[in-house]
Amino acid sequence: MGAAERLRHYFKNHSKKQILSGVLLYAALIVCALVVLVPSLWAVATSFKFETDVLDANVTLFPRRVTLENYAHILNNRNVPILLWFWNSFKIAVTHVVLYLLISSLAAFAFSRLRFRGREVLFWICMSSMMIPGVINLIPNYIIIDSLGLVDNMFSMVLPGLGGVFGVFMLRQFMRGVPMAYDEAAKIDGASEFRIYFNVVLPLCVPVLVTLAIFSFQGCWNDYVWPLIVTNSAETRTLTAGLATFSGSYSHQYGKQMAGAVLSALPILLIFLLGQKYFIKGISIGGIKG
Amino acid sequence: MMKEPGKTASIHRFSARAVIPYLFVAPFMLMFLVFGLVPLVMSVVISFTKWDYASPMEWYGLGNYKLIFGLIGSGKVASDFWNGVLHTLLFVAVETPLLIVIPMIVALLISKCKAVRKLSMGFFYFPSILSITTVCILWNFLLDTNAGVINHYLGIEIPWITQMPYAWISIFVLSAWWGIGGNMILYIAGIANVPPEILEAAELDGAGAFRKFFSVTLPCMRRTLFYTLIMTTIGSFNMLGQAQVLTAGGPNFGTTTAMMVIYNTAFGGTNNFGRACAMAIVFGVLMSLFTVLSFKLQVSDEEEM
Repeated sequence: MGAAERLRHYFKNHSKKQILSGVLLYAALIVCALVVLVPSLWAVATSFKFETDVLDANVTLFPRRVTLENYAHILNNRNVPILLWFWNSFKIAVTHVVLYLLISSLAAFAFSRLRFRGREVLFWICMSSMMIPGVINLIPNYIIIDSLGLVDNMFSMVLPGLGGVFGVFMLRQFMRGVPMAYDEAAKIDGASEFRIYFNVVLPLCVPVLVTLAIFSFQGCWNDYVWPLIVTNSAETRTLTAGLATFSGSYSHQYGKQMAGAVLSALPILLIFLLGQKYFIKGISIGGIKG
Repeated sequence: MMKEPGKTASIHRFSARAVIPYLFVAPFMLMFLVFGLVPLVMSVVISFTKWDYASPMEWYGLGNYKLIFGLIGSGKVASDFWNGVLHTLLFVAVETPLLIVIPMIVALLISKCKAVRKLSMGFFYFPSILSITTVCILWNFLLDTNAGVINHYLGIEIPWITQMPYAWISIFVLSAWWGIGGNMILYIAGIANVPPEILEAAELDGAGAFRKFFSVTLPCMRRTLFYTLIMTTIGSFNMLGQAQVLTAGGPNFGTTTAMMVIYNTAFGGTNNFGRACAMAIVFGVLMSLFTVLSFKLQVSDEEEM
């Protein structure tokens, strides 16, 4: 059915009141969307303006004269290596997510499907720590990272989050729903525990793994305070931490500030657009199972 | 004769097999130990000391706690800390309802506008993928007193970042803009899971849109609501980036949050690790009190049903 035909269909099958409320709903949605969109639009538009035009009293959304000067300036400034910061953030987040999913699923597999002494006690200890706010561990974690010689090293930002119990909890919940008959059948075929984990149970957990991947990626990506603590040099910073002092170094040069903001947003926007389907599905699952 | 070797082999195999589960949990338990349990114990121990990380640790007993509660010293430590806690509580009290109500309204709108459902979900989620510093840089421009778009269009000259109460309003708006997405997606999923037959039954009984929402949709989404409430509150308790990047805790420490006080005590010039650990523990206990309380509320709520 084409769009026009669908519309005609709609008008034929609905009363005037229904059509009116439909139109109103869409109008309300568009207004909300504009409120969300306009700030970003201004940022993009401003990043292409000359600094003098930005401060002009009769400023308009769309630039009167377009320039790439701001972008050239930001990309050439060695004190704000935005692309390097992005790469650091990306590298750290991906490494963290891969390791997190691996060790959490291994533990969840044992907690849900293997029998061993101390299983319940260990699991109980892990779960009760969920109630403890992360802020309490902030300073000791710095001391531990420093004593491991990892300050200014990417692993200082990869490792501490791996002790988080949320992933084990969620995966265990999900794995308990997978029938044990699968394991028995694989065992009869001579499969080892690891094979059962890797070839039987893990593939069934993909939806939860996606959800966890998104949560841990975002957590790592948006972490603000921890990277500030464990990095000293500009080269090792993440995007979130590196940009913390960015406004200050370009005080009132909003064209350049916006160019920086756009550059920092573009790569993650691309990733988001590519994986949007999984992203939204993953978050929805998280809320229902979590 | 044949039995003996067979038996030892099976014993041997058994013990090797008994180790396997531990191998599965070992990597996680190691990380949990090093970055979860050990730091917790360390934090408690350090909170009883005077320690600047460079010189040797000095036992201080309950000194840090006494300072925090204003029992000794000039009271400056106590007033700074509780000032921060108060600001954090203000943020939690205002931002949590905003991040529950606004995403709910947007989710309801999107659920009704089926034709653009997927598109608009991506759209409203977009700000949440940005890092907090990017968001602050963007809003720092929009809110600028002279060059800012907001003052320009409203034809006013409000110093949004450097004057009270505008600094707080700016932080609330920015945080709401940033945070709509996550809860909205959860609500859309929750709304989709409301059994249509109950909604139809309510409609047959003559319930209007509002009645249907408050008497059917909302009660059906209790679990989702509870989940978002806990998560949003914990997130708000930890607020730091907005206050540090956008307002720098100002004006006159008016937007300095508890997290910021703890961070500055530990890493802002003087490394006062002992005091910062004690602050973190007091603040952490406050936070967990809230979480335990809400869990209790939910449990009693479920028992009622």
